Amino acid sequence: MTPADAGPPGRSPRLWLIAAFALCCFPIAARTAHPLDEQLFVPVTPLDRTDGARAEQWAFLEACRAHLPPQPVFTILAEDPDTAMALFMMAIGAYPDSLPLPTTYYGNPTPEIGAQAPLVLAYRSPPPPEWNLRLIARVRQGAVYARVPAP
Amino acid sequence: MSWPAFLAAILALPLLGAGAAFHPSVRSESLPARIAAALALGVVGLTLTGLVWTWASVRWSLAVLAAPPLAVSVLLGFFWARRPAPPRRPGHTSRGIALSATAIAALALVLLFWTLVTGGATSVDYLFFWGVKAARFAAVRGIDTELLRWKYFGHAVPDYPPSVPILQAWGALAAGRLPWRFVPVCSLLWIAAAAPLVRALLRRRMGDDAATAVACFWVAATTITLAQSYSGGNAEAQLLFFETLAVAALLVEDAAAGVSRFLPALMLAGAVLTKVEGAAAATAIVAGTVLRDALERRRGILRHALPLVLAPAAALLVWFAFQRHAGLAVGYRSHGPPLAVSVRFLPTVLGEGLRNLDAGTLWLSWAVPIAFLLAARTDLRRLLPALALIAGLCGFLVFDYMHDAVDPSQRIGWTVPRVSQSALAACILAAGLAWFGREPRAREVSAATASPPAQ
Repeated sequence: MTPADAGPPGRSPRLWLIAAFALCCFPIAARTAHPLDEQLFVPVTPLDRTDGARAEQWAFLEACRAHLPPQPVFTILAEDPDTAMALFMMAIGAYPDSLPLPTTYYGNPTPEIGAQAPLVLAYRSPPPPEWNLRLIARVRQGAVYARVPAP
Repeated sequence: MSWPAFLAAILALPLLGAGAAFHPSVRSESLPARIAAALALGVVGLTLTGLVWTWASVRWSLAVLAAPPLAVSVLLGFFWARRPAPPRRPGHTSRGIALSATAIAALALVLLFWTLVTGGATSVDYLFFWGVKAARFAAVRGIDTELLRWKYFGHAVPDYPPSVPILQAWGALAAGRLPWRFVPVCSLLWIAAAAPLVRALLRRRMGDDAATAVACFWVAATTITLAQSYSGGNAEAQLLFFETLAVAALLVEDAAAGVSRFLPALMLAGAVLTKVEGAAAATAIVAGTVLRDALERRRGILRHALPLVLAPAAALLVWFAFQRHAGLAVGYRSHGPPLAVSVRFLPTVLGEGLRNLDAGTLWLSWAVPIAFLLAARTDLRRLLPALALIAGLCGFLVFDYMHDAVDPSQRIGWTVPRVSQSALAACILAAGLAWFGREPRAREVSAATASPPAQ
């Protein structure tokens, strides 16, 4: 280091490096607190390790994919409004060519909107019998239905 | 397998802004540092191109999106390459410091990579709206304005600036679809890309060893807080890139009039196009810079501040004009009437705010730079670009949380770990400069002129 480059005397960069290494010990400690097989587990969804509930919901959407036609128009039923909202939000991106129609939106019932969807994705919640649906496929955590046209 | 093509598209972004690497204020730096500047210009260029093509009803493709920023960048590069640049300063980093810093930074990046690749830091908002917009934009080959206007898409904050969805859509176009599990891993690239330029900028005001050590600490602190705040796949890493480099460039600039502000202006434009908070941060950074310049009696303050104001303002105006053209609500939504503040929430806001600033290290990431800052007993005026960002961001957050209709504890827990990251970065840079920094060159020159060296 040239004199012009030198910092104030007695101020060693090593202190900063020691502190930087000390920071790294926190994630290392957090990692080693879990068993190795858990560390090596390959996630199935983007949220496996950050939000188990949302991960299950994402996996449900992935499972439904095989049973949906191109450019599907569907609504989603779930056991509670929060779950239905989360599934609706994720479905818009999970199926980029689709039109998801909400049956509830932020907890506000919108049955007139959801009723326009010819397909129903039911997550952990059987649809009401009066909906007159035909089962297309059972998938993990739910099922895919189609509305039966009124005679 | 779509992720290699997505990664290749993201890694190609610096090509779209390669001209920036030839700007006289950057040209003398190392190649990795110049690539970071090129990345910034590439991102800003791609974002603006995405907006303009949608406005003009031109369907996106890789070639259509790449052509304008590439052409502009090449032209600017030829123009800038002919202008004189300061000579390259040879490096003097001690072998031990270089090796240790590289090892620690690599360890921090590997830890973040491992966390991201195993899905341990994915942002829920990425699946709720960032990635959602990207997937839909790629599907319709443009900004899906019909979707943004849809009554039942309000949860996806349609008013948020478009850079992140456009970038992810760019990758999705290359990959054929959005590789949902892989996209969060790319958050790492922002830190890896910024680090060499952070170090290069710091070298302008401190010794090479010191600049290397401070940059290394910045890498460690930011990688850990990105993981801890579940920022994989959202806009935080990109915002951190732009805001850190804007602050670094302004902190280390010479006091001499006429010094180029191309780099910080570019970074502020990028920040504004990345997130709403980017506009608040840009305002604070510019205010801090102008105040510093005034207090230090620098010459041509207002004229010199113009690029810092015009670049982010122009970027913001383009987005707002697009909103208007697309029939969207123009501007940003607040969380309530501006003056409807609940003072009763202040203790909660302060208490929960501090509790959520632990940055994944039990507050050590903050404590270390604050300790250096206090111990340095330096003139705080020269640190104002960074201090204004810290104060402005904290003030903005306190004001925002006090607008909540209900107890904001939960929202603070969700958001403070993410949105405080730029303030942490600014704190690290300010502390590094306070601890190691030399005075601005113009002062050295004037001091040398006023008093001849002792014989």
